[in-house]
Amino acid sequence: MRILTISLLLTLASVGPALAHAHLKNADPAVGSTVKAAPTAVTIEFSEAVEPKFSTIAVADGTGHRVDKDDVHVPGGDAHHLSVDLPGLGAGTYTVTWKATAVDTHKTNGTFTFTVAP
Amino acid sequence: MMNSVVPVFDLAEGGLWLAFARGVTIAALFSLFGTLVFLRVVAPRCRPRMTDLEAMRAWRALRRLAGLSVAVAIAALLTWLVFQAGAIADAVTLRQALLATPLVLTATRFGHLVMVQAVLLAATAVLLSRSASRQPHALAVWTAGVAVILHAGHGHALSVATHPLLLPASMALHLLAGGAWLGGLVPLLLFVRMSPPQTGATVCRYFSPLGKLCLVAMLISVVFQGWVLIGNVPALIGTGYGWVALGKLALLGLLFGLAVLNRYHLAPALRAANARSAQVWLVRSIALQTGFSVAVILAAAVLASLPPGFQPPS
Repeated sequence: MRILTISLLLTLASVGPALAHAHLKNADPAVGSTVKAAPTAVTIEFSEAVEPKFSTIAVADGTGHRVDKDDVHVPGGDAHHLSVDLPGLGAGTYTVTWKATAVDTHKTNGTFTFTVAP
Repeated sequence: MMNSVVPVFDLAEGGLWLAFARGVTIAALFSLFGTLVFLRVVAPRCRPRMTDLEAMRAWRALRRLAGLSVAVAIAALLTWLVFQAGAIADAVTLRQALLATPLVLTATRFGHLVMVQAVLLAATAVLLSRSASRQPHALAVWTAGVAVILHAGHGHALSVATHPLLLPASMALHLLAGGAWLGGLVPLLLFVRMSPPQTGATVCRYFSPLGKLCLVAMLISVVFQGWVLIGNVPALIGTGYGWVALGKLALLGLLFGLAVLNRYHLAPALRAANARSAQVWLVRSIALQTGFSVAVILAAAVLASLPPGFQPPS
């Protein structure tokens, strides 16, 4: 009983923030970053698993023209990540627009930019 | 310009209708599970105090309730599926929602869970229809119970990054306890109303330990979930999720108060001289409890549709 109580208290003490809904955790290229080599893909890591069939990533150039290959997929089978392939990008600033449907069916979206400056 | 003290109630796409469909599904699942538990655990212990005619009438009413509950649960689950599919696929019309349903059913975790729940409910319906005796098949309690447990997968339990095992387990316990207790209120009401006062007192006596056990399980799981999904006082009083959670807690408090009134005041009065009057008041009290239970379930459905209070800064 004592062990059970101590375990419960330790468990409660270790409780951290609950990040429900798929929020952007990391991105490659990073949010607002400037990269020298043109990336071959944009990959976003979310705070929770997403439904790939109902999630999108679109990459547009400075004129608003979509440049990605429209092949959103889950790299490595980890549904916390979503990726879209890119053709060879030239110098410039690109806008990434993402929409995610989390596995709990809630939706989130956002945008960020990155710059290619060889 | 003054800032509003009322927080944002950011319901998921589909809004209140989606939360309502979710709530009806939970209510029907609870009613099914609670009725079957009542039939297996509470009712048999009262049988020796009942005449054959009283027992036949009571068991028939409860079996009808179980049958109605499983039918409503299946219909509500499928309706919720279509609503949710429409919300996921950004459908504007019902036709678009229906067209999106197969893909949502086969390609999402929500759809997979709905499929398994529908199969379990269908199995429960078959088992209920094939039970020759008054008692439902024990397996029917299990299939209904697993369908209730799986509902934990539709909420935030399997989505949050922290406590990937403990939070779903807590949610499953919460659902099972809620199903057995809140879902057992209508069978209790029917039994008390249809039986002589003495038998009604016996029913309450045997339902009470089940209610106490479920209440303790619900309170422990509520505190843990509140800690994980809300986490601090500002999130409790400053978010829509926190407000609904407080409302749900207040309703649980009212339910507890009525349960104490029933068990320690109205039920013992069934053995006293004014038993008929006590029976009327007990039936009214349990009916009020049932109404509060529906409100608790709807609050839970809204909570599952809202982002938890503890959110990262945007």
